[in-house]
Amino acid sequence: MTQAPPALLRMEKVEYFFGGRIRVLGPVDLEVREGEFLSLVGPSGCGKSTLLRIAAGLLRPTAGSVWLGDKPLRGVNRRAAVVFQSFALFPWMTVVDNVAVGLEARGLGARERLKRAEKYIDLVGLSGYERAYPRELSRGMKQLVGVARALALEPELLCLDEPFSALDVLSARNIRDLVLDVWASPEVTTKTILLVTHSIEEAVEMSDRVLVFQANPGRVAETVDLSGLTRPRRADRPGVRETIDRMYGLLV
Amino acid sequence: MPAQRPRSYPVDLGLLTVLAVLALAAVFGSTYLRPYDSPELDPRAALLPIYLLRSLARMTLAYAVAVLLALATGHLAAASPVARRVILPTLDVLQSVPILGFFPAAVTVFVGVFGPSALGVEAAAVFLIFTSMFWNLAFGVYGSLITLPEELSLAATHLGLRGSLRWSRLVLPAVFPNLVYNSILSWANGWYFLIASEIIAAGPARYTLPGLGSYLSQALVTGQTDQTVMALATLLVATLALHLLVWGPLELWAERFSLGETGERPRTPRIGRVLSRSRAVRWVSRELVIPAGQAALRTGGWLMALPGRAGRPLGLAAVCLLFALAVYGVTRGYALFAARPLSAEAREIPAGLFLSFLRVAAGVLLAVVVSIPLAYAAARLGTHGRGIVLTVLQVLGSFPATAFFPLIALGMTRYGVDMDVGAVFMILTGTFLYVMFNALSGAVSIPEEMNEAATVLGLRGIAYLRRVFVPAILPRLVTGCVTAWGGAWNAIILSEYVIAGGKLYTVRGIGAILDHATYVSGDGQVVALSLAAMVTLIVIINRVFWEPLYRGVAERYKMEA
Amino acid sequence: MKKKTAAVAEPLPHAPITMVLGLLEHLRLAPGGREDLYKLGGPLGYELDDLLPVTEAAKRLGLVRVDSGDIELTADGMRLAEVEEPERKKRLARSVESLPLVAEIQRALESGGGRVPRQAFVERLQEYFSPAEAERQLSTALDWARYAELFDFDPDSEEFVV
Repeated sequence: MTQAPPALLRMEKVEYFFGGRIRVLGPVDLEVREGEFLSLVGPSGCGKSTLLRIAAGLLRPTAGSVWLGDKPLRGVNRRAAVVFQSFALFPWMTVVDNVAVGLEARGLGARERLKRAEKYIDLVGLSGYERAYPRELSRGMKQLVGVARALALEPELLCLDEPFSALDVLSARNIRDLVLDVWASPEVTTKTILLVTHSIEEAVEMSDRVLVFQANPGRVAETVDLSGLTRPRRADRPGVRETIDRMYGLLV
Repeated sequence: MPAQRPRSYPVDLGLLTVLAVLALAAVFGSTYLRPYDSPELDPRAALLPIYLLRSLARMTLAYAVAVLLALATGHLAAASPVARRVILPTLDVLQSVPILGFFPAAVTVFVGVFGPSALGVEAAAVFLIFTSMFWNLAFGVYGSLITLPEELSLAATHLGLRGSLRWSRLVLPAVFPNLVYNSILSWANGWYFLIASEIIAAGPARYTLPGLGSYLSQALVTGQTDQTVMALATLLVATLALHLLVWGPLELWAERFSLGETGERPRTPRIGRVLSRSRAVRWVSRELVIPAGQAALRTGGWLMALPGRAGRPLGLAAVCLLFALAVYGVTRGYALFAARPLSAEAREIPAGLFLSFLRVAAGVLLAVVVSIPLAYAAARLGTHGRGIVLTVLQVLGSFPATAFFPLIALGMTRYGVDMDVGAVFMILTGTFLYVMFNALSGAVSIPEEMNEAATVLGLRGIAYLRRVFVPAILPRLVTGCVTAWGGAWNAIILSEYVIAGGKLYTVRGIGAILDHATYVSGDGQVVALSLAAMVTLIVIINRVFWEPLYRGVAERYKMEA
Repeated sequence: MKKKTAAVAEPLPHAPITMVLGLLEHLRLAPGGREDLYKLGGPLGYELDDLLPVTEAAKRLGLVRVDSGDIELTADGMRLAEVEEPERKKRLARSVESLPLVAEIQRALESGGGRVPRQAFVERLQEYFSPAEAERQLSTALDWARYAELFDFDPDSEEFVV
């Protein structure tokens, strides 16, 4: 039995109260290990998106602590990048500007920004669209820009907040395959991924580990280890169907 | 793929601005500090461009201050719930105050600060124009920031956008379309009050501000028709040029900034579409306006982020200062009244107020009655015709009707019309365009299918108007009426006391009382009381009538677009 | 009097190129590169409004064939679905270039020194389409051409650029 890899991100007894009174989340203990693909699955309203925002440093937990490596997380998590459900692209910036804006905030020079932005735009398959505006793109392409923007920050941790729920099935499949390719690719330094989804099939298809969430308040009901199943995981493969069924059983 | 072309415009523009300011200061500075002696305006028509530039300078300065302040205020109100609770009601009350009533007071204050020099009067005029431009800009900024999608600002935070980068990449672009739209309105307002302030200054207040308005007023008063025509033509050309060269291209560019689900702001017509056929305009837009706009966004971002950490204590200091001013005002006011009993003039106030109220109501009502059929007719003209009508209205709106007040007064007496009617007519100039513009924008928003259904059901003529048209445009109509109502009170102050051709034309009303007390009797008590009475009435009617009306109408007649 | 209407009069179906590629991916995994049309509708969650343009677009590009309720990859389509980038873009570029509107724009770019105003094409298309439809045609052509990296668009000067 190999040693479990070190934890990139750790949450201890994290709780979140909305408006100070309504307990949305917690207490939750979890850790995201380096190099793993971790999914959070649960019904709507179980606080998984809140948890992701806490991991990204966009929200401060009402109670509990968040650790990045061996240091406590303060403010925005600069080692993580987020892909949003609604894409959250700036409509007044071209694709290349959208992808580069995070780099501008980090102080990269114009030439370096352009080079990096073009690299990741190419990586997600959108080369040729650098000067397009978000409104000219289909939803799938918008999300690809979102992914490129996140990857361009070259984060250690990539957080995806229900990234496919606003997309049609084919675009979603396309991006899912892309994320897995990118994760495996030696060109990309991002090796740890945190995915929040309400689709069990998705979680099973992609992750090493799945945390199954319950609602009211949001808590981890069970952890499922999928590292035994080899990828690509299609529904007809052995073990996949059973795992999916089992997880449905856990949730419903 | 071509890289972004590097632009050095920020540096160029910055340098140019600094140089321009220095030059202006050098040329005009000396004259400003000398004691003022109210010279006669040089009536040579060749000097018109200079007068136009002086007027434009006042407008631009007022606008720049208004925009910066509106950005700060709107942003603060959107960002902090505590600030919001203070700022919004304050803005609401302050914007109901008829600005012209305060002009004489403003002159006194600024002259007091800068000494009896031209600078004091200029400052007062700029302040006046500023107050006419500020409110809708501030509300507009607040509105667009409040409706910003949460994930967008979250994304900005997560990407590390802070300070000037956050302003120039998120906040300013987000408010840009609304800012352009409101700027057009503000400039229209501004022209109105610029001319008014120059005319007042030249007339009753006896300070001459060199500018287009005072030139026009002088020409009218001395009966020089050719000068009058030249001045009016200059004004027309100026407003048209602004639309063609500035607002049109800016609006076109602003479309890129819209967040997709645009609210129901009445869209100004596609001047840009029509204009983009002209290569000259496209060149101006591409080479001048857009780079200037981009540079402005960057500089703006830098400027707005300047307070930074100092923002909070600065805000606090500003609030304390305002509070101190308020206390001072109150004590002075008290001293004013404790000094002596109410004069006879003061006792006229309630009656005057009532009469003025009747005139204002008449003005608003007439505007509505005239606008509805006109909007109906215009809406049926088809997209092209509508576009033309909207453009004409917009240009007319930028044209300050106040320029014509002395003319109207003279005309009324020439044809033996009662000045009461004349006053209402003048008020109509302040109300009609607001109502018409909103009515038309409401009319074009009626879904085609609703009109088709009406035709199929056999609803035409009055029945159509009553059952379909008016209810459909009611929310926008009410909005127009509220704005018209505010505009009418300003017109009251100007129209009830007009000096033309050396004679005084006046009617009984609160505006006349105020003007008389300010310029003739110098009775501070009456000035304060009449202003207070007007403001109180306006605020009460706003709260008791207009707001509930709007809420009721918006609920019942809302179109599920 | 023109004897036949120009080739550009045949409208481009409005489907984003990525959806077309997605369709090819899906068909590649189907047995024999062939699938019942109705199966695209239901399980994939496609409505008619999406389905029609996507299949039309794939047909126009010569990548699929439709007959008797089935949709099937052509040889070109199969090859395109199988290869990786950048080979895929090159192949697709060949198909896109053959479309009359795209070809016209490219010719204009060549003779115009790499820049040509969009407005010119809007007016050209308005001989056959309504103003709104003309705009849509150009947007679709641009989307496809962008993917194939044939040309791009400069929104400030409103020109197609190489």
